[in-house]
Amino acid sequence: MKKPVIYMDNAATSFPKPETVYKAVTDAMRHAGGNPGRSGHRMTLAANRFIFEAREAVATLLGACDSSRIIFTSNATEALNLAIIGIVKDGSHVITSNMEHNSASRPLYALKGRGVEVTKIGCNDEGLIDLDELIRSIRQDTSLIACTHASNVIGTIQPLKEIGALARGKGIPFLVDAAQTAGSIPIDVEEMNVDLLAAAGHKSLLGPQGTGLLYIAPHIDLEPLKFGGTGGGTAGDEQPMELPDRFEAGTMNTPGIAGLGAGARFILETGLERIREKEIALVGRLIDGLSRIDGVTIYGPAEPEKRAALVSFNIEGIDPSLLSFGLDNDYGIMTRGGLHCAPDAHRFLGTFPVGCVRLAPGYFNTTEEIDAVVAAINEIAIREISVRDIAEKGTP
Amino acid sequence: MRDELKSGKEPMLLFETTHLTMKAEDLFRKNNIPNMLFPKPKKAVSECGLVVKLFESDLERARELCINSGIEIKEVIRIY
Repeated sequence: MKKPVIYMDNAATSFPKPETVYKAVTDAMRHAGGNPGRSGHRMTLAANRFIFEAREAVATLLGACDSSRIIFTSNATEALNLAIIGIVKDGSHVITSNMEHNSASRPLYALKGRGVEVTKIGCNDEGLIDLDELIRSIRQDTSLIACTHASNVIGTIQPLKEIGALARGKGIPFLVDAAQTAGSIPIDVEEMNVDLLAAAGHKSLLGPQGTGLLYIAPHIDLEPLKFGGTGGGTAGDEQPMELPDRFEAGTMNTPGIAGLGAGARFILETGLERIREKEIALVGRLIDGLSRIDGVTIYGPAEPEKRAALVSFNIEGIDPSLLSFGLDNDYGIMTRGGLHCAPDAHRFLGTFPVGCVRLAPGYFNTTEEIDAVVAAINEIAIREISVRDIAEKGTP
Repeated sequence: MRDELKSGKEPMLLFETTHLTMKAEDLFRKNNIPNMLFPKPKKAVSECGLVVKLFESDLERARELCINSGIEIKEVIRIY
């Protein structure tokens, strides 16, 4: 009999997708195969509509009044690169945190070659950015404050509104990495004073891989990352100034964006609050179950309301990568072990260089699956303790 | 209706981007203004893409809807 499998890696890529997402992707491939923004035949028009509707749905979800300020990218990493490389001035200063994913910290590091100085501010025990340190770090030449909305390692949700107000008050652009939150935690870019917001399309927005987006506030002046054909403004040598064309050179990923649009509409129809409520319940059950197991260390805030839908942990004495492998191999539970592309966060947790195991439930997981995950981890922990006891004390 | 628009010398609305063109088309459709997407006439605009063609009698209402929705019409093209 085929063993049931449990997908607990939604923080990397969500699975499964709503049925409407699969349908939109195939519909786009079968019936909207034209090149969006180019020519005027029916398949091009169909592609234009898929992209337009996706942009509108995503803008509604993020509280962006003007959907033309949503730029589609191939993932959150491209969106972050576009934002960081496009706005940071040579020789200036940037403030970020020690909770960032490499998708933000690496482009910032690369800017050191252009004389950019980066200050990484610390966090408290729960992983919350130290706002006092943030204020103290602001300089005359600070050209960007960049932080994650929620850590991909411990899930801590940062106080965007406070940081946004602070940045706006000082006239410093504020970039948010919402890879872990867009689609599952309420975001209002205007209310939160967010100037730039990067998101992945394939995580909580429930779209396919190969999709992402960047929101650009109306007052933000950004340089493009790529240059080329946009359909409109063809005659000029320069990249057009108008959004979204300015930042979307080249043929777009119509099937992916169609799927992303369907994912965003699923969230709007289901209700983001309802999704969030369910994910909080699943995460709470997970934390509760894991905290009863001897030898298990859970990282991040105890209250599920303070986290994105993920729980990272270790079992004393077990290599997290092997634990993740064992969970898949022996129990059919898919997780993410290791450093999660966020070495600074692991240094902060004291789990560098081995990392930990991340469990990331999604809207489609059930309480029964959470219980099965806890039972499997309990079994592994008990086995590890008995093996250790035998090694230390000998057989009874 | 489509044929009348296709063959008639009706006004064409030019927008700055494909996104705005699609937004206007969506707006007109929701407000029951007959329209069709039409290739940008190369006599008037030397670039690729689309315009929204509609009946002269709907032009003022369409303009008003665009203004209220923050959609800027770059040009009204008429080819006689």
